[in-house]
Amino acid sequence: MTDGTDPGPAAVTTDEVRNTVAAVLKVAPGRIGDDTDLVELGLDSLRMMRLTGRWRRSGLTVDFPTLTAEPTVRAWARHLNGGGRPGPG
Amino acid sequence: MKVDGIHLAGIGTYTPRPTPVEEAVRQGMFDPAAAKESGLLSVAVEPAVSAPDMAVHAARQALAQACHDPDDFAAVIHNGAYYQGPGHWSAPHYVLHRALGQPIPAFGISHGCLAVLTSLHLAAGLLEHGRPGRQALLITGADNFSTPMFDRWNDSELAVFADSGVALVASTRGGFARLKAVGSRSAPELEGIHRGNDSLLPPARYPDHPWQVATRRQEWAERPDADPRDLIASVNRFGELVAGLAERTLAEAGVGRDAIVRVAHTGFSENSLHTLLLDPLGLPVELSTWDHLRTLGHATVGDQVLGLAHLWRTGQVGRGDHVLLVGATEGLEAGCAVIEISRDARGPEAGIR
Repeated sequence: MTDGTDPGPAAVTTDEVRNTVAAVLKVAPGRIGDDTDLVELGLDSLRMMRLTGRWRRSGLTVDFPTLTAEPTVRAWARHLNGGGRPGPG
Repeated sequence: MKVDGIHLAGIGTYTPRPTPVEEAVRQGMFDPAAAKESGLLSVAVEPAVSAPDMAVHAARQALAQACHDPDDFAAVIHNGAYYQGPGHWSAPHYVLHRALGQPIPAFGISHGCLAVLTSLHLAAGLLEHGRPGRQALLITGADNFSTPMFDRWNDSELAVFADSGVALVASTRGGFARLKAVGSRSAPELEGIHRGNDSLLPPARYPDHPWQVATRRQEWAERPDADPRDLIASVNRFGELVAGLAERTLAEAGVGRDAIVRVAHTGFSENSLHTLLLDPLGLPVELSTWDHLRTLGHATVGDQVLGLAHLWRTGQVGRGDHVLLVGATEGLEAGCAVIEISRDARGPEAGIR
């Protein structure tokens, strides 16, 4: 998996990520701050796999370990927009 | 483990007519949202033929292709992850009697969905080139979930369980493919994911041990002192396990990653296939057998053989091509094998399709 340097789809906003996560968690988006720990909020591995699948099918490059390393809306938006991947390759 | 002198001389498959996912949803058997998430188009369901009988069908196909004398066979290894028949009865001998009829050992391996790959691993130890009666091994695998006691559609969120039978003949003499390396690695600290709160004593409340994969996983996630990140960590741990194993097995086979033409893998549903196997292995879905397995579902012990048979018979892999077989099972354990195709499925030397 490499950083997205191609143009690709339009940039994903934190609000879009927030709304997607809120729908999966069945909570109001207002409860999810940019830096809210999504695991603490109840996001489990299966839902994360589902989200990973959804974003992959929409054409985004997404990596489950990266999502789990920093489970926040802010970090996820950065990752989906081709931001750097922490940790070993 | 590097392997020398073990070939695949025969391959056999029994796949019943698949049930379209739409039909399962329409009949209220498959949750519509789960069906959509799964990415599956259909699932193989066999209402009438038992697992051992499907194994016999597949075995006869593989044996006809292999053209070995019955006397060449050292043993039959018959595997199933689920119910094969009455307790205290031998399904492996049932298969042996109908497929080969030889007075040789017949047994199965308790290795969940890795049983067939592990049977191949055992071939290296059971067979000896040139030794009469130890030149071939019949490996079979089959499962049938057609019972109201088992909810194949909704039992697990990772896969939908399919009915099928598969067979391989491993040979010291030659075949359509050559086994170059095989092995597995485990993370036994995660065995509890598939145990949940079920007791080991007294025997479980259901004599037939229905799986309830999702329920047990949730029970494990909620055990005392559990961390909310445990399941997530287990997914990542499995990814590391399978990535490391693939690297090791390729190195043992002396085959570079770029030489792998296709990958035959577990029949996971779409999201789990990517997260648990394709992404950790760095494999694009085009190299996988997803297109085929999404029409069949998760054929427990048979996925890799069904995938390999499909790739070979349709000419998607041919002579000189390397195929990676990869799988997963409770434990957790990842299994892997590298094979090289020795002859095309079509052409003057083709075996029976």
